[in-house]
Amino acid sequence: MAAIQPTPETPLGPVATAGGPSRGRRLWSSLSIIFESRIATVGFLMVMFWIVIGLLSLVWTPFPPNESRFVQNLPPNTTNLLGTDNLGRDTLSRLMVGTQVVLLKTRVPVGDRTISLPIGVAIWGVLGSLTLGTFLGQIAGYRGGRWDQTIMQLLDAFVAFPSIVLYLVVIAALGRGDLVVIFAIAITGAPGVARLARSLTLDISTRDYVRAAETRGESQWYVMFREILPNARGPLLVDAMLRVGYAIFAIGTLGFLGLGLPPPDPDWGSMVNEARRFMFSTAWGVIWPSLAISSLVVGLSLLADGLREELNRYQR
Amino acid sequence: MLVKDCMTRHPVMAPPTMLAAEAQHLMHENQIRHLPVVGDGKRLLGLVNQLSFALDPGALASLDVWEITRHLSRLSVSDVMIPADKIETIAPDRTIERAARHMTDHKISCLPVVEDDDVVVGILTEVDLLHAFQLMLGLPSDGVRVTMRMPNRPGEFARLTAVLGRQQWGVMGIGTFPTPRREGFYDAVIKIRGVDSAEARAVLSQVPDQEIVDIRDVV
Amino acid sequence: MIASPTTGPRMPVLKVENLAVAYKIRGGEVEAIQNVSFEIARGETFGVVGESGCGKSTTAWAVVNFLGANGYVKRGSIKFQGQELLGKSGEELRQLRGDQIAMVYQDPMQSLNPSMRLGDQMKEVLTVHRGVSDAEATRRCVEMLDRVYMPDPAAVLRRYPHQISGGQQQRVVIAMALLNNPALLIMDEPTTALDVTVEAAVLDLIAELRRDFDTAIMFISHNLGVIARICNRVGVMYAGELVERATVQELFADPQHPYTQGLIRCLPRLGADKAGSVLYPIRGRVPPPSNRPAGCVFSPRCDYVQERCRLERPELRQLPNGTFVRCHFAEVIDPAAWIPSADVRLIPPPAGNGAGAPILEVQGLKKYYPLQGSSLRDVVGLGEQRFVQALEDASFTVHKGQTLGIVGESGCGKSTLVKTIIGLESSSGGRAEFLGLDITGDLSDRNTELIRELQMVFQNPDATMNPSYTVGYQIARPMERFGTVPKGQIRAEVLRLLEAVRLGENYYNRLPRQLSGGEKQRVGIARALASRPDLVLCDEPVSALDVSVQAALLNLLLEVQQEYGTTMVFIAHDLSVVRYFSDQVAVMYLGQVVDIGPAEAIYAPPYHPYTEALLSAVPIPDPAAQQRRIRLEGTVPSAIDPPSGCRFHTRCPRRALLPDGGRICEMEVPPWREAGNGHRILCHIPLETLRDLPPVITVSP
Repeated sequence: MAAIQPTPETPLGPVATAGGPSRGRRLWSSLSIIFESRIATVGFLMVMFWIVIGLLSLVWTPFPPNESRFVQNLPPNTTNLLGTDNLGRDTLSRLMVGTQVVLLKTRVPVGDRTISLPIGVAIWGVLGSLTLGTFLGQIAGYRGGRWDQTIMQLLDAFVAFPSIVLYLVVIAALGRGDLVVIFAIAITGAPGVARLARSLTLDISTRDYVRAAETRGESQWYVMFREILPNARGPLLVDAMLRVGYAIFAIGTLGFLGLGLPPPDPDWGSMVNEARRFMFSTAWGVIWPSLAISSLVVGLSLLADGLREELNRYQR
Repeated sequence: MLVKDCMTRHPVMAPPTMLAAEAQHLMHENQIRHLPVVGDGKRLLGLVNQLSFALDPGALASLDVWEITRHLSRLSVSDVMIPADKIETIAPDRTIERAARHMTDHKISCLPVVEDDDVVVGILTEVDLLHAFQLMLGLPSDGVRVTMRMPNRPGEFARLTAVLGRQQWGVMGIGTFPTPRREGFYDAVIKIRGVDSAEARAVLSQVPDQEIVDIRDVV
Repeated sequence: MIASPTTGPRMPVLKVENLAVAYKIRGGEVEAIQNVSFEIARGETFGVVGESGCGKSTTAWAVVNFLGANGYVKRGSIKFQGQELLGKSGEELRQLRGDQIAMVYQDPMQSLNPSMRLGDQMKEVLTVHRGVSDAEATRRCVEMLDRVYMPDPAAVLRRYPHQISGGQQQRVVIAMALLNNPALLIMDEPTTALDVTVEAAVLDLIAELRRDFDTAIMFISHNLGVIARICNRVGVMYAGELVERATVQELFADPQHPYTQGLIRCLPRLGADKAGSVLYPIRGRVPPPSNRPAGCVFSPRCDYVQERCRLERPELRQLPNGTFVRCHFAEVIDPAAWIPSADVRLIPPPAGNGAGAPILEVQGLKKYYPLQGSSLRDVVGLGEQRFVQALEDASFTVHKGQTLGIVGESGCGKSTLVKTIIGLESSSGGRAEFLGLDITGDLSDRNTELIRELQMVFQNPDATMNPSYTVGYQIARPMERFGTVPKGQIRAEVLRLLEAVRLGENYYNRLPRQLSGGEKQRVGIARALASRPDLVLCDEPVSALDVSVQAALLNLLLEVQQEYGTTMVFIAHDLSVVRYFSDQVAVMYLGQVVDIGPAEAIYAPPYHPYTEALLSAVPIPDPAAQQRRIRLEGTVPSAIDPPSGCRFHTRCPRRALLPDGGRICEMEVPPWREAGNGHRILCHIPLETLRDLPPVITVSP
């Protein structure tokens, strides 16, 4: 048998089809990561539940939320599924509308009119702290040295104040209103975000692609916001999700202290506050909004946790 | 030559929970006759040999036929082994002749080699000693094997080695024994490399007072 | 050699038969390894070699049952000392593992507890397991550390793991493994993270210990040179299968499987250069476990593939010479008749042949990093300011179109040198000129034109590309930034560059995570070339890649250099690669260039004593090659307080050649000795003496 001669080389065909995935597919693939984790899926469903409820309340509630037309402090019954409050208003309707303030709209006074912006107070607040914190954290982490020390020590000093006190100070100085709450949430959240952003930046700036950008003579801003920030996105978003949870708590707390969002529109915190006085005759008024707050916060935390796990696995 | 140089390192060992039948299989598969039983940290707990598997008539007498099968299938190594306190052991830095003495004194065919009282580091069996014996007399290498008989007095062996030294002959193996049935004489067996028997005979027969008892090329 | 008397058939310590390991993944499972069979006898080292992702480590983990939550042994048997390990309870396995099987990993810190003193960790083995007294345990640990050539063992026992070097950590781990006198030692890339000189010492040690302790060793490595040096028998793994199993001599002299032949052809032989030889990469890449071909796993990459290979999976079978091979046509394949594929060819030397004008001139370049003291005096600024002298007196010239290779152990200043030249760091003294322009300052002192001319290729393929952007964007960015290409033509230019690095148009929109390591590195090269630089600095561009990919990449760099006339500075720790790739070679030690000259001159006498030691340590993928054994003591000294006089005098094995035991080496900085043809050696020893030293490596024909 003669020795086998090598067969002439056939070039290996193209491995993948030309062109990248479409934008929609890319969005879907990043969304699908949620469903790889059971925890994240549960969290996602809980959050979606409240978003759907909120959207629904924009067009329909069982009864007008601010109208006293029932007997006061009713326990749950067939007409008022969740009972009524101390002014005889339908708790279910108020609970539904309360979702809006947190997740879906922000009321801004313009002159003497009030206009509503989309997206809720909690989310605006967190976006604020995200922007501020990321900016400061990136400068501290990338520039290092004196910048790092100054920024981080200022932020540390800031963190030393209890956040409730900070809320109180801000509200005392600026008065009540959605914008003030957003401001307060943004300010108190920023140091935490900055800390995270700084550590991410420190890590990412050791990568070779950052070196490559530097050897191209790119400006510091380009390196920070185009090279580093996109790769810190994942952990920052997960963190932000947790922060939305905290912000909802904070709004609840402020509402409970009577400093929250201005009446008459209900928010969950003030609902608890109002119902608290009648807690011993009927506990339902406290239980429903508390459940709402905690389920939304737990949902967000689960979502964040699940995402974090998946992102970690994904990046490895 | 010390025990640690001639023992088998990393012997096959069994945990006490192993079934006796499994141990028997293990010994058969590895073609070994002794199986040290060790616990945590390779501590010696006992020894299993082929006799361990012999049935004990006393234990079986009270059982009926069906129970015997069950009894046997449940037997574990710890039930059949010789317990550690009845086993002779040896430390790795003793000499092999001491180990051999130990074995002939107790009429046993194997010594577990232990460090720190009871940690098994090897096993020394008759086969290992016979192996060492072959090496000692230079069996594995080719050469001329000569047995020289010499009177038992100082300086006699030196005379022999002086002759070897003059010839620049290499010695592959060496052993001396008191001549059987003849007081006052010793037989020295040496294995010489790189010569033929005629040449060796010619040279060695010149050694005064010594005689060639035996000389052969093929051992 | 004395044949041992027969004592009947010997049972192997480890016998693995038809092993298949599967990992459960989402939507099913994949078989990471299949049909792996081998055995290891007492006192034998069995090497497992192959590219990454071929299942080497999985095999080892299966033996010690460390497969993790989602892995399990699907088929086959693993017999240790005749006992079946599969199906044993966790407790029994744990006991076996503790007492009779030990494992050494690539990263020694995986086996050391960072918060415990080394002595306590080592003694634990004896005191807890064996009930040895503390004093006795200490004595034995010292003895064992001595055994592994640890300097000052008693002091080491009092230290924490982070206080000793990586090579020393690995020795401690080996010593710890041996304290228990295991029957089987599994080593997973134990020397991969170490410097070549340290690696050589650790390999010597392993070989010696195997003899003394009669331990069976399973040695996993991707490095054929290391395997050739230490193993008796070798198994070659490819895509989860053992494709060839042979004695080390047979394997290198007469490889049977086309994959083994391909692997050996990928390696530059030490002494080969680019003018006279070509590396032949294996085309394609290792298929992922989920997507293996139906027939022979190697068939898509095999040059001898036949119809039968695509349909029928070959069995591992024994050839008349004793080698086991998994190939249908092993008998009829003749490697001598192998014809390289058409697109791999010898790169002709650049036209004009010979050095062009000097493009980069470096004279006495220094880089000191200030050291932050921790005492109170330092904090208030009263302490004496101390420096890490990372770079001290680096001098060389690079000519246009040529390649300068830089070698040396880690910590000798190679990377600092490159960073200083490219401007990531400013220098602390000396002169450096690029095309007559001063480049001693950092990037902020340089104008865009100068920045454009100097570009860099990085080491780590996973970090070289920004994961957030597509390949096309990342190659286009330098063109936008420097305006080298008109806006409208950027896309066309990017595609042309992709073509030049042998990547197709379809890579334009891909994200880095969709690329393999070699492909990322190609993109990195394309990006460096995008601004059309005159000088490209390559910092270990191939050292993180598998040999077949490495060969392809080296070929690519050569072609690119020829096409664009680029000058290169090429850092690598692999001396055969540097020899192959470079025209000039500079050997660095502790911030100094100690030996510089044409590549062929560096690798032949006269040697600088340090170069000589490095060459003696290189693992050569040829068991028949003879290497003189020169081992350096200790590690590279600290650059904070470098030795006086000649910086190498603390470790120099050749000081004895000088009168008075080389006292002059401690006192005076050595002179440059000209050995002709531009070869210069920084040493007190006269050239004539150095010239008389025999060559380190002799390859028998």
